[in-house]
Formats: sequence, structure tokens, C-alpha cells
Amino acid sequence: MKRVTVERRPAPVGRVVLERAADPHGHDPLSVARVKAAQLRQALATVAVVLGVLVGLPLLVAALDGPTGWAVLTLAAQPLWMAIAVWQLRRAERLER
Amino acid sequence: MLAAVLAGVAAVLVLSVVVGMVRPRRYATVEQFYLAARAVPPLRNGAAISSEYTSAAACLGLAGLIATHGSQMLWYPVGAAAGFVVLLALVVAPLRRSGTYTLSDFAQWRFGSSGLRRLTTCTVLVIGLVYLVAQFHAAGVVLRLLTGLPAWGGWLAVAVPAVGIALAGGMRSVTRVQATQFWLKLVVFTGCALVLWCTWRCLAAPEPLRVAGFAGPYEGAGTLAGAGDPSLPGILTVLLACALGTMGLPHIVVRVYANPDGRSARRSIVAAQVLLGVFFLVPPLYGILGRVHVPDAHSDEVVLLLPSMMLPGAAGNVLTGLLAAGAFAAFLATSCGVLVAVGGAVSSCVSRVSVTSFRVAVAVVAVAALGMAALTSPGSSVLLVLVGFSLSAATFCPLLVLGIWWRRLTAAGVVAGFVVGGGLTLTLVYADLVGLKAGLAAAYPAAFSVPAAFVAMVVTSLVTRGRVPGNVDALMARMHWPEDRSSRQDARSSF
Repeated sequence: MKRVTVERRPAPVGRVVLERAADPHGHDPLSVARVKAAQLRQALATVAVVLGVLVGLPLLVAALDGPTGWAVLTLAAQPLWMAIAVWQLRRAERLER
Repeated sequence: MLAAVLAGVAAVLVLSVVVGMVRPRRYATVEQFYLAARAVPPLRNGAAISSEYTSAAACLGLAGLIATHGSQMLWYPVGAAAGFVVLLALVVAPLRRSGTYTLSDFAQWRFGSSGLRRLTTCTVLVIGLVYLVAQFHAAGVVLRLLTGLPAWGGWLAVAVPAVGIALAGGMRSVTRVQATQFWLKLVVFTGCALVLWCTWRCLAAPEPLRVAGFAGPYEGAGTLAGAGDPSLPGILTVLLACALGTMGLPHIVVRVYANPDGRSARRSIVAAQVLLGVFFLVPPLYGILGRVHVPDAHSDEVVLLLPSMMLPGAAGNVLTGLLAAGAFAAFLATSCGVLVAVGGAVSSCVSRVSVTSFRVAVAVVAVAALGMAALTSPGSSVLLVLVGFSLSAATFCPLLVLGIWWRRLTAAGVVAGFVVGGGLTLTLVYADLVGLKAGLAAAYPAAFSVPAAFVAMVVTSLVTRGRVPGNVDALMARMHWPEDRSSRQDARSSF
């Protein structure tokens, strides 16, 4: 079992405080700041993909000027969201291992 | 048809109340009342989340909007499901690990400010009331259409059982009711859609699929502050509001608390994403059928008019009864979830937390929503709900995203963001309602108010940098550190 000690300091501005994870088992130390940064990178990548699809698909359809098959695209988006969600879940869980 | 409809609605009401009352528990404290939900497994919680999300707007309104406003509305189900991916990526696990129950609790926990708590509770109340009024109006429209009873009969048929379930059981029974209602909705709406679609494609004179041909909205198809606007900027604005607004819906966020830890909360959201992805394949089918068979109907009526138009006789009556049952399951699920969430937020804000104050708050919120339904006239449920999404995207989205990931956010920054984002959204919607010409901004409110709220929060926080909460690093550790890596004692000692 790892212990996290969280220091209380009077608000150091602009500096991230690294919590040292005392590590009795010799695994590589996992600090809150590092976990948070890794999770944030992953989350922003996922959100970027979602916003890209959300803005890109209607723009693409508008640019192609109405091929009859575009309505099918709106149905295909649902499996796409599921796939992105599963990908995000797996990546986020891996980052916490 | 009357008998089939009444039987369907009565069956759903009885089923919901019975499922909600099975093994009722007596909770001595509020913690027990809420914590009772902790044992909910991810799939059931995912079904409950989906159930709260598939309200009148998703079940009836989306299909009706596609029928009345044209094929561009096919993007709306895409946006409605996208919000959950953003919720999963940015909010769910840290919010669950914070251990706060409502959005107001989160604001107070993160910033230690009870003034901020009151501000967020007011915003939760506004969004919750918008949702409730949309459900009540849709129930009134449906009941009047199918049985000829006055609209307030529909309001009461939803409000009374919803309050009853919320008061009786607490989180656990609400979760069970909602999971049951989701499966009912999924089976009914998918099954009827397949029967009607096959009837149209196989039995009736098969006409070519002219999806691209119905591109335009009908004359006089209404819009509300950009929602329902088929132009490309209008669509993109609504998609943005959906993607960012989902995370701030009070009844969705409360559900996250029903999981024991951050990891299972994430899994619940993924389960909800999959279930919703299946469910949102259905509104386009009804929308296309509605465009062909029932032109010129009220958008919330389209789905329920289809069976009797396409299949006269007993088969049509049975399908109408089933759809009416599914629709009432939708009204009940969302109303119940919103009442529990808003009641929890309001009661813990105005008084010392107790089960009694929670129950009083639930009853007061329900009566307020009934009053507002009486004072307004029914429009399209989707357009009304999208106002709630815009408001949520301009207030709670920046609060949650910055509050979880940016340690330098201050209470003053949050207040500034709420005033700018929420104020701008409400002003623009009001200007649109009274017919004031507010130009481009009123046509696409979310596109302006969401960035403005983010900028206001960041700039004000940087100006008031001395007021960052002193324990912010402990709070960040609590939100981002996986539970199984730190012992319970450590998590406690960090406060």
C-alpha cells in the first residue's frame, strides 16, 4: 500500500506541488501532478477528436453539397462515439495502473 | 385506442411505483439515504443515466423536430450522444473521487464558499425547472392528443408519481425505477419503429427514400434562441451546446455518485454511451416516417400519431398504447431524476441537511414547475431542453472543467463566469422570446456565451490570484489520485 502525503502550504502561486509518494515496494513513484498531467493530455486528445468530428462532419456534408447518403453518416456517428468512449476508458485506466 | 392508451399509461405508472416501493427502506440520515445507492453496478447505473437523459425531448421531440424542421435536424441526435464522451473524458472520475453529491456540493467543497454554493444552486434550479416544464408540457400534449383529457391531467399524471417515488425511496429505488424504465423505452421505441418502418417499406407502395429531398423546414417551424435553426452555424451552435452542456445537467451528475469509486463511475458512463448510441438510432426513423405520413403536426405529437395513420385498426391501437406507455416512462424517469437532484441541491443549501428538508424541497420544486407549466404554453420540448443545455454549457461546463483541472481557479472567477455566461444566455433567450432583435448573438447564443464564460473565469481568477484556496493541492490529490492507491486513512488525513 502506498502512502500519499499531501503538504499544506500557503498557496504557492504558479508552481505545482509534487506530492512524493513514499514507496515501500520500489515501484516507480507516481505523483499526483504526474497522474493529473497524463490524464489531462489524454482527456484533451479525446475532446479534440470529439469536437473535430462534431464540427468536421457537418462542414464536410455542407461542402459536398448534399449527396443523398449523408443522412447515413449521422447514424454512423453513434458507433463512432461508442468507440471513442471505450478508447478513452481504456487509456484512462491504463494511466492509473 | 383510448383503452389501449390508458392501459399503457396506467401500466407504466403502476410498474414504476411498484418497482420503486419494493423493499422500501427507512433511512435515518441523509448519508444513508444517498449512500444506499453505492452498490449499484455499472450497467444498471448506465441504464439509469440513459433513462434520465432520454426525456420527452429525446423520445418524442427529436423525431418530431426532424419531421417538422427538416433533415438538418438529423445532427441533433449526434450531438446529444457526443456530450457523454466529453463528460467521460473530463469530468466523471475526478468528480466521483471528490465525493460531492451535487454540483452545489462540488462548488462549496472546491472553493469553500457558501455564497458560491447559493449561486450554483440557483443555476441548478433554473436548469431543473426548464427540464421539468418541458416534461410536463409534453405529457399534457400527449394526453390531450390521445385521450382528449385536459393538459393539466398529463402534468399531474407525471408530477404526482414522480414526487411519490422521489419521496419514498431515495437514490436506490430511483435507480431501480429508472433502469427498468430505460429497458422499457428501448424495447418499445425500437420495436414500434421497426414495425412501422417495415410497414412503410414493404406493405405500403414503396416510394423512394427521399431523405435529401426534405432538406427544408416547414413554413412557420419555430426556433428558440438558435435551436431549430437549420443553417450550418445554427447546427454547429446546438452541437457545441450539447457536447459541453451534458456535463452540467444536475440529474446526470448526481448519478455519478451512485458508483463506489471513480473507475466504476467511468464504466457507468461508457455503458450509458453504448445504450444511448443504440437508442439514438431510433428518432431519425420516426422523423422520416413523420415527414412522409403526418405533415403539419405539433412536433411532440408526431411519434404518437404515426401508428394510427399507418396501421388503422387494432394493430395501430396497440402500437399507440405501447408508445404512450414508453412516452410516460420517459416523462417519469426524467422528472424523477431532476426532482431528486434539484431537491438535494436546494435542501442542503437552505437548511441543515435532513431527509425532511429534502422531501419538502422536492415537493416545492414540483409545485413550482407545475405553476410554470400553467403560466406558459407548450412549445417543442427539444427547443426548451436545449435552452437548459446552453445555460449548462455556459456555467457548469467552465466550473467543472477549470475546477477539476486548473488549480488556480478562484471563487471570484467562478462567480464572474456564471454572471457573464449565465447572464448572457438568459438575456439572449429572453430577447429572442420577446422578439427583440439582438442580432447574431441571439441567433447563436452558446457560440458567444460559452467562450465568454471561460474567458471571464480565467481572467478574474488570474486577477484574484491571492484567493486560491489554501488546501487546493489536497483537493487536487483527492480528485486525481486513484482510490485503490491510497488508503482510506490517507484520503481522510488530507483535509
